[in-house]
Amino acid sequence: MKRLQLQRWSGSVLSAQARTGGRLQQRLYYAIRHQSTASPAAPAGNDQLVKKQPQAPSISSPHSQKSRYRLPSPPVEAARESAKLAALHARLYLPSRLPLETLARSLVHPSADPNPNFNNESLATLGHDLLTYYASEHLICSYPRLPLTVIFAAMYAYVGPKTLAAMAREWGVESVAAPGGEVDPGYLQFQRLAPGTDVNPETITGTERPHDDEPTWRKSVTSRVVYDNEYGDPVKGPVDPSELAERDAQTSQGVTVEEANASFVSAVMGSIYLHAGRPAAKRFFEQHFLSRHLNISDLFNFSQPARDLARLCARENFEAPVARIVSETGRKSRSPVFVVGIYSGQDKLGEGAGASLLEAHFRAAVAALKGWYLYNPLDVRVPSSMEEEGAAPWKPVHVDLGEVIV
Amino acid sequence: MRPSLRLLNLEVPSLQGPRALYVCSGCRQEARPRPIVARQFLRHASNADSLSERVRRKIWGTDNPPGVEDPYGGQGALERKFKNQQAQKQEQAPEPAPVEDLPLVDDSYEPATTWKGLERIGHLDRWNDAPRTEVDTYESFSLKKKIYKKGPLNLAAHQTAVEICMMHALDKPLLSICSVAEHEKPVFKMIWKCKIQPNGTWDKALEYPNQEAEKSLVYIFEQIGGQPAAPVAEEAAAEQTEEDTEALELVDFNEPVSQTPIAPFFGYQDARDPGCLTLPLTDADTKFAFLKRFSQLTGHYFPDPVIHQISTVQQAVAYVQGELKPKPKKLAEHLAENEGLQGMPNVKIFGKRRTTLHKDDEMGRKKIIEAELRARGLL
Amino acid sequence: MPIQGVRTVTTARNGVGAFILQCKQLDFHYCDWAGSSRGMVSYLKHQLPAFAKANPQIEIRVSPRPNKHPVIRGLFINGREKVICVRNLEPGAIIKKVNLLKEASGEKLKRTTKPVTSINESVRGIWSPYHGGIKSV
Repeated sequence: MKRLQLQRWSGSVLSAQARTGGRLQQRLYYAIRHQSTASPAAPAGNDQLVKKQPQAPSISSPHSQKSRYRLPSPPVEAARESAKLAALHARLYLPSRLPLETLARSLVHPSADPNPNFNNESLATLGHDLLTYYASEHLICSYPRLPLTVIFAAMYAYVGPKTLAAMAREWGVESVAAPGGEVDPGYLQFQRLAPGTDVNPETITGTERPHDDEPTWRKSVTSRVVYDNEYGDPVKGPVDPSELAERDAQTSQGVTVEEANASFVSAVMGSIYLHAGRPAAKRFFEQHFLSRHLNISDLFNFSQPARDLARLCARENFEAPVARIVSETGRKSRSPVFVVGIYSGQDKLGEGAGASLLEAHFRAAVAALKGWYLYNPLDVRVPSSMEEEGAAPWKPVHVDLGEVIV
Repeated sequence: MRPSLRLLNLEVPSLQGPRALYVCSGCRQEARPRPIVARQFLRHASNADSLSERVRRKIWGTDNPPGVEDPYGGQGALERKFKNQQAQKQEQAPEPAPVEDLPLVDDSYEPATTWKGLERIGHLDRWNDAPRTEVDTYESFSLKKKIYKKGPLNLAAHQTAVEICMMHALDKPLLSICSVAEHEKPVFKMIWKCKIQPNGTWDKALEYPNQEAEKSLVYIFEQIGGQPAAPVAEEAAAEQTEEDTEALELVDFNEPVSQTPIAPFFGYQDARDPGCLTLPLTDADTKFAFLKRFSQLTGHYFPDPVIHQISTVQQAVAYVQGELKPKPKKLAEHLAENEGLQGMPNVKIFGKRRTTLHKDDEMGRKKIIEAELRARGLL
Repeated sequence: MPIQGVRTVTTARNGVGAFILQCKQLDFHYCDWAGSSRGMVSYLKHQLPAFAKANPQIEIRVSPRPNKHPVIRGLFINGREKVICVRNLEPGAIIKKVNLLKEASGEKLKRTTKPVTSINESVRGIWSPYHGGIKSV
């Protein structure tokens, strides 16, 4: 597999001041500078881009403490002075090829500095895609029969914003009271929400899903793969560039701590990918994300397990499931216990104990379904393992049909 | 009947008018003047005759004994005061009006609230606007800038020692050397060439480089501090003209001092001869003269306890040099120079105490606080 | 809808993948003048560079605190802080105190009666009276 030149990529994402050196990057840097200066000589086809990138603040080389108050986020050279940033770099075992400047940039949320040359929006987008890719391939390959709703929940548990925010907290990242040029670049910088703001706005509208204004219509699970995001939540459709300014104005009003923390963790992932390459990014993902504990069998929420089990057996051409009492005690007492097994022909699919026959039956069906859905093949390879050097030829992994359609 | 003093005391508030504060009887007893106690025996006297009067009558055997009526100075001060007050009160009782009418305050008086229109007190001319006079200028006795280097300090010590030796040898008042702030260059050169014998005494330690230098130095130092005590009579007339010129020259001496603050000691770097360091400073006058001249030349100040401790020139120079010793270095400076810590990106060293304000500034909270304070007009 | 997913958050297992040192910042305070800081000053001069080099993940701040006893303040990821006064201590004793702060989790000290806690379920399973050789009653 041909490897991409990461240096070339990273040069274009890095801000002009944060580049690591090298002639190729210098040339890129000049190109960027020419692009971002809104000169009248700029080509007409580029003016969309020019509009999106406001002119970089003219930075006088040695920033006095006074002039820093005028900047929206700390200047690039402040990253070398910050002990907090260096300690964070070492605490996360980040590769030494990842400069402190990029780490400082990944700590700046767009709500603090709307200039895309100095905030972490691009890094966070890249990191988010990487995270969801690695998490989803891990889930689908190691649990090939998981229902889609459970995959959504597991994705949310692994790389959802709540988890990312918790991770940022566990990494010891503190956030500023208010962003500005004078703050230590080791703090997470974002504009806080004004007190009393409603953090859970009403249902999102403007998605790409047809008839999304009909709240009572059923949304099929399969359609959520197409229209919704990786957690099964509705997402807004692509924004018209003319409305971009409006959206920027919204973000400048402030974001939640959770969102800012999540963007930082994603941005760290993206910057590792850019500076240190794919293996380092994947190692980082395994060490920090996959190592976290998640009991997937807790994510199921059945409403009619017996019916599902019957449909499943019908689909898989098993004999119809039959529930039988395995043992019981104290049927007429205050606390009876029934143990019910579900059998398909001679095979016992599942077993459950409960205080009533119905409950035991329910539990037995749930156990049988979980036994099916939580099938976990050993020594599974994920597609991204093919990116390693000298990887063995790819053998397709088994991915099941998924849940039953009732 | 003579009124009891105790009763009098009780009447004190009423006697002194309504202004008097109420004083309890215990405090009044405490505050009672001594003489009253001394004359307690008069308490039971039934008439105006005092004990001494009765004794005198008995001694003389007549009702009208000769001599002064009261040889002990009459009644006590307090008694007299009470008597007067009682008399006044009795007088005032019918006409209390004059007391109120006492025109102590002028009705037209208005307390001033501003300066305006008030009489000017102090220097009646506008002193501020007057040009500077000679009196106003101040020139410090010692050097404006202290000498810190070792060589010039030795030079100053040597010069001082030579001068004091000369004054000793010429038997002139030692302190008068201080009137010459700085010598001219040739004079200084001669002084610089002079040697001082180690462990010598002040009047004999000086060694001149040659005869001419000795002559001229002696001649110059003769001029300092007024005329020599008794110049030879016949030479006086002859020297008269010379003295005038010398006086002019002396004036000339002083002028370059103020004009040329160039390198002190004319660019000489170090004393040629360290012999002066061994001279003793046991004689109080010599010591004072030496230290005064030395501090004039170097600009360093000698506190009294230090003067008391110093017993040789060496010690005086050592004290000034010890003063030069830099203060102990702060730890922050040490750590800033530490090579091991310089390369550490996770180490921050601060020279000053960190306060909450620093933390607020680091977290961006300071500007919010300041903005709020400004909005409330508190900053 | 047959099955619904339950949204949860993964729990951290520090040290299973990456290990995050829980001590994130150490503040060293000393006094330039006072004698109780003598050991601390010596520690800062001679031992601190090695400690800082060995622990790059700890932010180290050295600042004077005039007319006060020397103090080491450790800030931890869980938001707590621990302060140790090191007045009159020798550099060797201060090294121990610094290590104490570095290795602490930041939690309040508590007595551990059960030395092993785990979020994994038991491998052996829980004994059930309803399985196996059931005796008819």
